[in-house]
Amino acid sequence: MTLVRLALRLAWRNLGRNRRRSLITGAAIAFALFFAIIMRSLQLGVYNHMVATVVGSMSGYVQVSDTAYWPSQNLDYALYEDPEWLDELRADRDIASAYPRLQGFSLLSVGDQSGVAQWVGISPEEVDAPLWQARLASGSWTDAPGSVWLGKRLAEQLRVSVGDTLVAMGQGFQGSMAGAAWVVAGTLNMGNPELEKRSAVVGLADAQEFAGAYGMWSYVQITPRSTELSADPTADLGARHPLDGAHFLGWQTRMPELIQAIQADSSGGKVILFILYVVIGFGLLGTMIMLANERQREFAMQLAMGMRRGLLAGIVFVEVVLLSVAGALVGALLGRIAVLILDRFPLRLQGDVAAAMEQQGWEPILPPSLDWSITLTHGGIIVVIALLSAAWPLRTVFKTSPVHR
Amino acid sequence: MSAPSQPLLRVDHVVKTYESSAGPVHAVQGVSLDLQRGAFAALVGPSGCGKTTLLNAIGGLDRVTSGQIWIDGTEITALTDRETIEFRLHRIGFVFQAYNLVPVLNAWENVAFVMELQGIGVRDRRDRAFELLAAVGLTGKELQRPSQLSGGQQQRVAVARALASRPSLVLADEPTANLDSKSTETLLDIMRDLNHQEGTTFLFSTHDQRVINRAETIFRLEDGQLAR
Repeated sequence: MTLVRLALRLAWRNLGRNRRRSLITGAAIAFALFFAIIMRSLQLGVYNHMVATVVGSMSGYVQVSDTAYWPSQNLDYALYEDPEWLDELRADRDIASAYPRLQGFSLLSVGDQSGVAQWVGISPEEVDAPLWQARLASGSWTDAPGSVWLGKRLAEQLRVSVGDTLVAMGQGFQGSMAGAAWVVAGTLNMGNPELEKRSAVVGLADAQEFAGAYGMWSYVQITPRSTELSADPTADLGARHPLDGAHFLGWQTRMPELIQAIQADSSGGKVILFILYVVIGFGLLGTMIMLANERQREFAMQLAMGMRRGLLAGIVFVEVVLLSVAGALVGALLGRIAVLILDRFPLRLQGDVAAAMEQQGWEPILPPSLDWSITLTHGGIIVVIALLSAAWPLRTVFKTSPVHR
Repeated sequence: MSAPSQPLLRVDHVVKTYESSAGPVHAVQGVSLDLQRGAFAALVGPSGCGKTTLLNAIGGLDRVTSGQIWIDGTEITALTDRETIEFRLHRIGFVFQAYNLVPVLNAWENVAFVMELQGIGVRDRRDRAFELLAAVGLTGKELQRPSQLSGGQQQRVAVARALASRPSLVLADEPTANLDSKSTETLLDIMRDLNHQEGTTFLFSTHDQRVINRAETIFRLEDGQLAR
């Protein structure tokens, strides 16, 4: 115990013997972690946002559909309604929401304007959810039969406004002809330009009537409690709530092109972080070499007086641990604060970059991910790098002869 | 006290040869000597004659090429590395030319450093350290760091540190080399007093005539060999 106290005391005081160097080293660790947290949080936050807008609100993080529904999304592979099973699903504590939908494609026309739309029939409970309420750009939600809400850009393209009537035509269930006249009850901000160009939302009953698919769902859209990219509860939910003839599909399976785009972009971010870590790693190594060189005589003297090399190495190691953990804590704290601020006031891109993002179908904002695993992972990485850099002074301890005093 | 026939230190035909790029260097060539308990002795000779090498070998800091060294009946040349470290910790005190105090410890903590390595409790360490600092004339300086002390004061702290664990033998390598005349005289007085009071055996390596003049026993080394 005496030796442990001695080791801690010496390690702590050694940090203060060259305060400027300790501060600079700690600051380098803190800055690297701060930068890594901000960068990775923004990157993963943008992906989360992409997924939330493209996947979360429309096709769902997890879909339960007939095993033949994907990838054709043919109405003929719709499920028969099963309210009891749906209630069981909604009672699951890992599920935030579960809504049945009927979905298909049709031609919409009004006057001499026409366009192709993906219509989706949503249930009244889903309309009441905050997500859809927040999306209303104009008009209002109503349960009046025959109402339709159009993506803002689709409404612009068709040159319709609230109260106008449009005609929908397409293929219904099992080859039937689908047709209806819908009254525009509102327009929607979908958070994604592509979705705004092609979405037409109607009540589930209206959709079933339009397609002649009475008592049928194309799929049940599930939003899990955790929607972070790292979480994929699909298999688990499928095992807990089986449905005959149906399967649970995660968005990653349904939209491989999206996950590939995210992975490609994420790899670029990882390369930048790797370069940052290499630079910081060499900086730390330089500091450690300096530390080892200037203390070699002292190491030799302490060895001569009877200090064991293991204890001396322990002192140096504790010193590096204290320095790196202190730097990492400061970096993590500052990074977390910055991420929370960015979450409250997300960065909005301007100019060409914004236009390019919109062209690719993404809203030009950079919301951060609040996932703690980012802070913990990168905090861990930077501490490990700092500890690895301690290998040099440790090597010096084990190579120094007591006669080199 | 042991009988004069049983010396505290016995060096028997010790040879130390280094390998260098220019070929082998015979730093110590068959040195034999006995040192009685309580002695105040000096190992003298010009620079490069092998004083420090022999002192390092006696202190167990360096392995000999051949020969044996006994301290207080223990053949330290036959000890394992771990045993040598333990032996040094408990039985030998060191005073170095460049003081070599731990800069982040204050005066009393430096004196107590070896006792702390031995696992002695804080109260006993503190009492002994304060007692020794008083003996070397540093009362009132106990809480000062090495950077706040003069060279002479630092070396006195180093002497107190060497004696803290009541070693059988204190080895001092050129202890006055960095000190002015006044500090040297003060330090020698202190070491002589402690030699008498504590009965500790001192062996210096030096070429300082002031130290040589105070030594009771002198071993003169020339080209790695003992000159009579």
